[in-house]
Amino acid sequence: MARDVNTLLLTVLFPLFLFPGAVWGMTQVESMREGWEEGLRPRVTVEGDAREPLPENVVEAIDRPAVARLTWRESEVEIAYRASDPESVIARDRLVDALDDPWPLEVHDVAPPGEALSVVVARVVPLILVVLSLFASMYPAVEAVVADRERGTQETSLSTAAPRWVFLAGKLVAVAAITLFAVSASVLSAAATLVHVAVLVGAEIALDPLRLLAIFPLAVLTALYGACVSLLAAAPTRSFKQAQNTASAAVTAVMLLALVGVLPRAELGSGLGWLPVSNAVLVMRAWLEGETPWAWTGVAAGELLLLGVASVWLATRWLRPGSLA
Amino acid sequence: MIEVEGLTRRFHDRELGTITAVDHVNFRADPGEIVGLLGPNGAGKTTTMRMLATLIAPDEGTARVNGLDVRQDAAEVRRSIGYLSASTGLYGRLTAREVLEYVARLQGCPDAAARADALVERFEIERFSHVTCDRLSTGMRQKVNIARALVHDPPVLIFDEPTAGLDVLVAQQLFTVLEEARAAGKCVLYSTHIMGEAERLCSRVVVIHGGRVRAETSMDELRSRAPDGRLETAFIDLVAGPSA
Repeated sequence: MARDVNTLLLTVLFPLFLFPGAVWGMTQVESMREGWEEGLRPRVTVEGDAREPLPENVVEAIDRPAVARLTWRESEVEIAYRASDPESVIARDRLVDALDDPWPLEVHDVAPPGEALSVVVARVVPLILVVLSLFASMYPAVEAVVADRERGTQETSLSTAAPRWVFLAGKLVAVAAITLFAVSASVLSAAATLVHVAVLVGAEIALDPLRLLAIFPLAVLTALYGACVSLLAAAPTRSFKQAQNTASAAVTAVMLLALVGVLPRAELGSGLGWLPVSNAVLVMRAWLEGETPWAWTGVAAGELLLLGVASVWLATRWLRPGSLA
Repeated sequence: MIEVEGLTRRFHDRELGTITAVDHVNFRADPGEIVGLLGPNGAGKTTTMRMLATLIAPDEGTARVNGLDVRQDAAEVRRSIGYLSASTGLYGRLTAREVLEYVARLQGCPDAAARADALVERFEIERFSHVTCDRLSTGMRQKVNIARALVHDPPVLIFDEPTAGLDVLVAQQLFTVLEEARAAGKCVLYSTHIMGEAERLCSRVVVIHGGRVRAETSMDELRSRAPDGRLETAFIDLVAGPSA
């Protein structure tokens, strides 16, 4: 058993703990979300003469912007909300629960057409970019490092006068290029499919294409970072199998960080803003939602670059332990 | 030339503990000679050669190759040597000629393309120079590999069991290349456990066993140690018994 302790750790113990851990984490997140919803007091603008008190957990807006509007009419009550805003949806649900009987209700979604879908897209696209970057870079990195070693070609290269970092840089360029190409192809294909489906079902997406362009530099950095992480994971391993295991574990860990960025309460500027990868997802999400978070974009880019450089530096040291530079 | 003093390398194994693969080894090899590094499997030949090629760092001792210290001037040492072992591979997706040009560039040759062309002609590999290496036979690949080790015309050649898996014709070509290198004043360190190869090529030999040098002498002197005058008998006498 001790002869293949890495396989034991990564293929047996890691999955054994991964799934219970993931379920526990999701339960915690769900419980946090429920707690957040319960504690939330959405602000509602009331027009007309109120004939019923508002639910206790709905606050009438006075000097702050409201997330929903309640209008009393002669024979009915109208509720206006935005389907794209989770807080507004909560306000709607509480008002409906409180007023449905005996008042006839008219509930209107006043969000511009396509806004709800664009919010979903703004959340999903950054996550997809990170996940694709990691998966697209994993096998090329393993191939570039471990297969190079197993074929004996690494020894051929390392016995030349060129410094070690040159080989790592070459591998990084190749892996990053493959990753970028794969991610671009996947995103284009996904976008075309999404637009086609939207046209078929008559749905609209209120997403400015320029916003997609705005996140492109960060997406490139994310792909580069994915390549760095995969190279780092593969560098110290001795066999293809071990490299696959290590890279899969590293990719899963980074993916969990990315998932944090799409949690309902994850916001830029909070503590999560300083968490690498989560931050990049949040920044891309903010750009897609119409914000212009320049400062946080700089922070996210800096973090990715710094971690990428650190990964390559470590990978250079681990590429051939004990060799002379 | 190659000067080795007190060169030591240890490996740590979870079950076996610390293994001293090379234990305070001393020897030298001068320009214009082929020195044979002889020893049975696991004697420490490959580890010694890998230290000289800067592929692994020594734990103790010093080694100078072409006047350069393997620790202090690792990159320059690599520029000064042509290293070939049974495990040095070729990129399967590159053609034979592309491999030569690629390595020439890595070694800093000013005119890598012309150098690659010259070696293609010298080693008579024109016929398959535009074939990717993964489609070459073992013999063809080793021919390209030998040319690859010589692409930057290094003053020192370190060849670690280069005839492993080769047929007699390609092996003969290799011997010719090494004899030409000796005639050109290059220093050649040649490891093998095939006595016939050593007798043909080497003027001096270093016998290594259990990580330690058992003899450093001329081929004639070593042969004279055996009652039957055969190198094989002298070699077996030296390496018989416990390895450490």
